[in-house]
Amino acid sequence: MSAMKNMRTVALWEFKRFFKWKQEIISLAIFLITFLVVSFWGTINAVLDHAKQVAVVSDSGETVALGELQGFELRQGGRVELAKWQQGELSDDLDAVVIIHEDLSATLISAKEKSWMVDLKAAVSAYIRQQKLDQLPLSAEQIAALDAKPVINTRWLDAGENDNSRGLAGAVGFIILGAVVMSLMAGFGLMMMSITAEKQQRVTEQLLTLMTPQTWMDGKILGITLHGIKAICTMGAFVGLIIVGVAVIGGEGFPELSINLWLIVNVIVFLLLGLLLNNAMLAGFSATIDDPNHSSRASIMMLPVLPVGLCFTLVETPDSVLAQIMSLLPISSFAMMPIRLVSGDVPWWQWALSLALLVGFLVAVRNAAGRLFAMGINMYGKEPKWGDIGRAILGKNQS
Amino acid sequence: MTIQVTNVVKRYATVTAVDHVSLQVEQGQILALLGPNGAGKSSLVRMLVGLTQPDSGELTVLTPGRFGYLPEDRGLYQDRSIIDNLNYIAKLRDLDSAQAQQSIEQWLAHFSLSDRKKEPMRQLSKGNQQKVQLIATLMHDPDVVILDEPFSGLDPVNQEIVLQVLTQLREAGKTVLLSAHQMALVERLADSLVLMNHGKVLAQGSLSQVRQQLKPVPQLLLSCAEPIDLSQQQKPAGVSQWQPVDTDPKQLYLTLHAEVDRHQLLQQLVAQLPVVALQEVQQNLHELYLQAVKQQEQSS
Repeated sequence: MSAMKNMRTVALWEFKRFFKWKQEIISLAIFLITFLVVSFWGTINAVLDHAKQVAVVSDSGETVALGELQGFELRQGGRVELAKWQQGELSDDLDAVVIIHEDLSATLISAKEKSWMVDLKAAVSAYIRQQKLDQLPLSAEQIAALDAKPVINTRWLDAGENDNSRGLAGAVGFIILGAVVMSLMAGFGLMMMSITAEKQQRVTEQLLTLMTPQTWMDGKILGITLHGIKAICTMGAFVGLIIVGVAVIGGEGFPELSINLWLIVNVIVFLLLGLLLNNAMLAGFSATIDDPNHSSRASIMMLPVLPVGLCFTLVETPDSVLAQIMSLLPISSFAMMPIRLVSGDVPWWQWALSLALLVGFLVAVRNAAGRLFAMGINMYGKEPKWGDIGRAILGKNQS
Repeated sequence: MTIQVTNVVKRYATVTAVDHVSLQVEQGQILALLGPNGAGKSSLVRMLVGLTQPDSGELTVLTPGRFGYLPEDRGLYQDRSIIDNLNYIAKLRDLDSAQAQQSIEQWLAHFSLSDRKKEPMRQLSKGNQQKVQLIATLMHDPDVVILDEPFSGLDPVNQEIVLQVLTQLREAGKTVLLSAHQMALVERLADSLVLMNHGKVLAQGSLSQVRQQLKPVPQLLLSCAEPIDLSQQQKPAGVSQWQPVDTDPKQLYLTLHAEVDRHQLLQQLVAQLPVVALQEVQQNLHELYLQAVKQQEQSS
């Protein structure tokens, strides 16, 4: 039987092994519930919380009209009440009192600092500002001109650039990095199950008489990568549905999408290579661990997350020197290069070099993972030393 | 297909696991590697199936697909069903789907597991898991079968079932090499034996050849008419050791020096004891093995 056929059989086995319909549906339901709760949290909070009872009065005890303020019920005051409030006595049904003095300063009286006071203070500030403006010898037009925001017009010389491109690049960048981190986390757990736990269950020996360690490792890397792709697709579809749903419900209609096929192909290729690379690295690490409960090596498996984490800091500056370096290094290029491609022009040689380095590094890591696995299975009940690992990575191990 | 091992050595760090071992298994024969844990049996088996390479010596390289291997460290995917596990291995063996199904169903029926084929492996007893592993080893009708400790973890009933399977394999002309430490079981089955300790061969050949090589110490069973009080008796010449039989105070085991005239000995015994009978005792393989190990350790 060809190694390719065996690799495919192993990949499908590993994928099916960890793919459970019931769990998928439960996960999606949890995501949906979480999204709904977060989206409507403010509304839920407002429904559960009563409107704050506040009296806004002048020094003479007359009610000051702040206007409509959501979440607040403004109450009438009087001289008697004002005297009590100034002595620090609040009736039980009143949350706060604001006294606006003649010099247009204000005093807020309440039992404790509360989060809703931010809105109240903003409304009071706006009222005082308006009062101050009214006292100035300005016409209505002059006041409107002061209130208007300054307009800055931009003109881009590059044809592909527009006002939204930076924002879009940033958003796409975060989506790409999020997808990479999510697949890395999924790969971490599954690879531990797939290789380390399998070694503990002694599944290895019989199967190793049917195929080479490299073929087995290739199948596992591919199978777990399929899981990563599945996770990204599921979450992508879910997030997409929410965006479209919110836009349609909000009356904005179906969002218009401008699709750049070249860009999409590039993003997919780099992401796929990145997933394969990370899973190959995780597979290699897993093969050196005998017992995940007692091995200090398990934490090292999180190392591939580090360069991806650094890429998060470069999303807003994709044309910086550091971003260019990260887009060439194979440990981060799968995440950084797509972000740079989305944000603007990338010299063709950088794109080609990045792709070549990524493919070359992937092949090297895949081969090393196979050799580490071949070494690990011959070690019963103990972990290889760093020297053994180094020799295996360099292809100098002995069976 | 014949298995040939010539002067093979395998070392792990400071331990020589297999020390200049040679053996041959003819087609249609069963060879048993016998010895305690750490004797080097599994190391030899792993080299035969290609999991490790010898440091020196030569051995038959078995062709994948033509042999079946039951490893000592057994395990299948605990979260998957019996049938899923077997189908997976059948696919990796590149078996025709219909042919694989037929073979798997036959073996499941043979081991009374047909009704449980959809159960996850973790729900099976250790013995039943071992049967599933044996099916995985035999489902493709291999020419050569390598079984590392096939009897361990099995109750006497299931040990008999495995013995029957091994007999059937021999009748079908398969070459079988197995390792075990249950000497009484293997004694009944194997065409040839290789007794190992600390990586070295202590004796090998047919059962009778092994007996000769291990030089059994002559032993007699003495039966008397009355209970024997050894403190009142003088040990006869030619007897190196005598000890009472635990279950019968009228009987004694006599261990003799190599060359002793049985007739003279009987006369001496009759003179001092009410002898009823004197019988030769044949040491079993287990006792012979222990004796050989002791001799090996004394000489080293």
